[in-house]
Formats: sequence, structure tokens, C-alpha cells
Amino acid sequence: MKWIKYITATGLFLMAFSCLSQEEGYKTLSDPTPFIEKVKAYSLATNTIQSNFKQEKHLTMLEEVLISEGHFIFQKEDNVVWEYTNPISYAIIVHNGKFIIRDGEKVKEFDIQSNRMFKEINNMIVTSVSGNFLDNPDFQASYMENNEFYLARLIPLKPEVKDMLSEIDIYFDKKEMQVTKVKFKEPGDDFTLIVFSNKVFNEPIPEEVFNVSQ
Amino acid sequence: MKYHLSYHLLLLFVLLTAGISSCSYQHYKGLEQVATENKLIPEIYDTTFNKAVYSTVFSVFGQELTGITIVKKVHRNIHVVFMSQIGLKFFDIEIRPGKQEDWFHINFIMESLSREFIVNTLKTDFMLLFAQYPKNAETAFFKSMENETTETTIRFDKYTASVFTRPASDKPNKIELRKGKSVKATIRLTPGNDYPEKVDISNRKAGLQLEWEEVKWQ
Repeated sequence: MKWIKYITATGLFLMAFSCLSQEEGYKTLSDPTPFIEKVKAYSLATNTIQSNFKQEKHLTMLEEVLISEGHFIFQKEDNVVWEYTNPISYAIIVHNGKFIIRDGEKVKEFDIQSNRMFKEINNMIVTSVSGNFLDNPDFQASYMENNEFYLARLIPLKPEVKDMLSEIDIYFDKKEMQVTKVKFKEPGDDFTLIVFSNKVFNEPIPEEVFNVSQ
Repeated sequence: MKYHLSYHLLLLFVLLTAGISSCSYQHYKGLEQVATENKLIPEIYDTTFNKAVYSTVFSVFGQELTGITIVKKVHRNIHVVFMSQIGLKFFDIEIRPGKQEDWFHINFIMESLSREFIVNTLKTDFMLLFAQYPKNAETAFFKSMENETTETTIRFDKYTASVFTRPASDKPNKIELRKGKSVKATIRLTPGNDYPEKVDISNRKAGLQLEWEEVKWQ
């Protein structure tokens, strides 16, 4: 009879674990095809995005959450401005294969292909916000939903990304089918939550936005 | 004649050797040793210190990483977490005062930074910054009678660390680590209330620099 106890205990443990591995209140999509089609349509129809963002850094060693705010611009295929305005003045600009960092008054330019880390950071930003994660071989994706959101959970497969991140959760608002928030989870319990607001889609973006003089 | 020449050469050699070996560290001009009992090493981070957030530039042989460093006291330990602005961690190091062996504990370090010379240099820098000197270290105290500048020397193994304070202040503004006459690390500090507002660490030989500047967060 011992083995029955063992199987029951194991079953209970697995059930508990499978519940924990899902985001609270979310259930796995039994048929993700309609969602995938919607994301494809969203990704295809999105040429530019302009948005504000609020970033929360949750560290287990800190009681408080570190909050920063800024502005985000995306232009297809992979032109990005990711700018912090409060409490720091810092911007990452990705344009024509160049990775530019503006830190206060200082401006530095890097070749994105020559720097693996910059390439991965850029890849993660673009992948998360543009919805360009379908058929991406760098991530294993699973899909969930609750009443308000669709949740695409990406598990990095590249060792250099896995080292820094265990999961990327991308939340789509069900009404608008737009990316509303992104959660970068690290190995351990620390994570970064980015919430987007005042989103503007497909408005033309002046070229000078990406041009930062050194 | 030959004998005299050899004798003089030998004497010159002995004098030169003696001269070199006595060329140990000279204290800064005007500083005199003060006999004090139980003189403590000046603290960079006071006992009342809780948390500091710094904007950070970390460079190793010309390669630069920028981000945010959080220095946070949790119970008795001090966590030093360096991460990118986006929040991706580069390293998370825990300083455990009172632990002789495991006082420098790495909770996490990004793979590309996990190199022996980087880790060892950081360990030395944090030893100076958080005053984690070996138990057998010998301390001496020097003071300028003119302008009240002080220097506390901490000697251990073949190293001497000097902690300097500004005139009429108990707040350190510079730390230097030397082996013989060679300077291994220099830390320049801009003191604040209970922790430095600016920290500039330079390890010229290791090609590693760390610059912290306080950010008022929330």
C-alpha cells in the first residue's frame, strides 16, 4: 500500500507545481491558434509605436520597489528609442545597426553586431514590444489567458540570455490586442515589470528622433 | 687597487640594496604617527547606513558597462547589486562582516564578468570600501599637526592600505592600497552624511575602474 501513498503524494506535488508554474488566475490556452493569429495581425499592422512606460524593479533584498519612468519609440523593423527620464536621464537608441547610449550628456556608439550583450538586449526589447516572438527559435513560447489579458510566456533558449533571464511574460490587452506590460523574470525571485501607457500606433516618427549627435 | 675597486663596488651594492629595501612607503609630508589605543579604522559606510543607489560606470580594459548599483544593508550584511538600467543584473555580491573565509559571497555574476581577475579585483576593492581587512592586520594612525589631515594605515601580508580623511573631518576621502611602493588600487570618495555620494575606484594594473555617483531614487 506504500506505493499508493507514494503515487498520491507525487500526484499532489505535481498538481501543486503545475498550479504554481502558471501565473495566478491564468489558464493555458487549449487552442492557441486564434491568439497566435491575432498576434500575427498585430505584429504585421504595427509599423510604429510611441508610448510612455513605468518600470518597476523588484529585488528580494529590498522592501521597496525601484520605479523609473520614460518614453519608448519603435519603428519597424528594429529601430528603437528606450529613454529614461526619471529619476535618471539615460537612453538606448537602436538605429541602422548601431547601438547608441546617451547617459546624461555623454553619448557612446557601438556596433550592435560586435557586442553580443547589446544584441541580446535589443532583441529582447523588440521581441517583447512588437509582438515579434512567434516562430522565434531563441524562445520557447507558451500561451495563457485570464478575463483581461492574453499572456505569452517566453523561455529563453540561448545560454547567454538564460544566464540573465528565466522568463519573459508579455501581456496583451484582450480588447485592444496591444502589449500592455512585460515582465522580465530573473533566475531567483527578482523581476522587472514594465507597464506601457498613452500608446500611439502607426503615427509617423521623424528621423531625427534616432539621430543623436556625439 | 683591484681589491679596493671590488671593495667599493661591493659597498655600493650593499648600500644600494639597503636603500631599495628601506624604500618602503613614506607617509605624506607633514603627517606624524600618533600613539593611540584602540583607534578604529574610519568607516566609509557608517553603522547607521541603510541604502544607497548609484549610477554606475564599470570598465574593464576599455569595455564599458553602465547601469545602477544598489548598496543595501540587510541585517548585518551588505548587498552590492549592479544591474543595467533595464534591470538585468550584472552581479549581486554580498559582504558578510565577521566571516573570515566567506566574507565576499557572490550570489550572482553574469557569465561574461565571471573571470578570476575581475572577481579578485572586485574582492580587493570591496575589502577596502567595506573595511573587511584580515584579522591579523596592524593599524597605525598618523595626523598632520598643521591641518588635521589623518591617515590610518592597515598592514597585512605584503600590503599597506591607507585611509585618508580631510582636514577636521572624520569622513574618509581617499583610500590607497600599495604593495611596496606600487599602488594597486585607489578609491576617491566624496563623503555624504552616512555614506559616500561619489565613489571612484581605479585599479590601473588590472585595467578595471568602477565609478559610482549617487542617484536620489524616490
